[in-house]
Amino acid sequence: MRKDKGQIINEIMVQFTSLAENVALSRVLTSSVVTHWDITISQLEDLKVAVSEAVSNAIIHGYENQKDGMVSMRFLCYETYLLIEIKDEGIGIENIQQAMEANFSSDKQRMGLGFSFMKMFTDELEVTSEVGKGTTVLLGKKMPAVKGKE
Amino acid sequence: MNLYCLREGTVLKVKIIGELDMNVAGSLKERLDKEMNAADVRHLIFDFSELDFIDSSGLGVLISCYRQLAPIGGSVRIEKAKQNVYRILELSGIPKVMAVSSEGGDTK
Repeated sequence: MRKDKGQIINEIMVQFTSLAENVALSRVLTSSVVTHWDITISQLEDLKVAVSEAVSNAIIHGYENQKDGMVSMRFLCYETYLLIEIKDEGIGIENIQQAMEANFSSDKQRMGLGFSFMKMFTDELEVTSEVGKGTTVLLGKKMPAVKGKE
Repeated sequence: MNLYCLREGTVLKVKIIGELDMNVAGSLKERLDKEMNAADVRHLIFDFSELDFIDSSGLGVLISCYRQLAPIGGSVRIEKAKQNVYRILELSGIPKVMAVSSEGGDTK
């Protein structure tokens, strides 16, 4: 996914504990990073939902709600593209294909919409995982030209 | 997230202010269960006029309320959803099982 995106203009990496309250933080971080581009409120809202789902997954499924895991978020800003990497070192996903199916959830109380929303609200989605090692989710979103550069 | 509940007979009106994600989904469900168990609540009306964000964890709470009330002839209704929240509700298929209206009055 990182190929053909051109040169990285800015790279931001943040790490936080797997606390539920940090899901809101991940959305605030995303909002701050995208101020670099002229994006619409609705595009920002899309991205916030995708990020929220990925970070929630890391905490709920990756770390099974244990509060001592670390979630890392890396923003790779290209001229007209944003890649967000969300990584946990939790239990991993045995069957990624099944996990990504709409309405599939390992927890019956949940709707299984997480990956569907990530897919819907980004231009690219890549999930890699190893059981016992963790999961990395890459969310890719096309961005408009940088402010003042048109 | 702030929550205001008002009970009128079998109807429970709930206004949620702020953001509804996994951080608050659990406590919201607990509070709703408490309110619903304390009285003979059959119908739940959510006022989303001041709800700024919802994701699948929040939708999970709505569905769980629906699953609780539907078998006893009850209903769940969502009113005044902001555009971004309304969009998520629409995409999730929620309007198939509950009445949803936006702040502009669009209904599904």
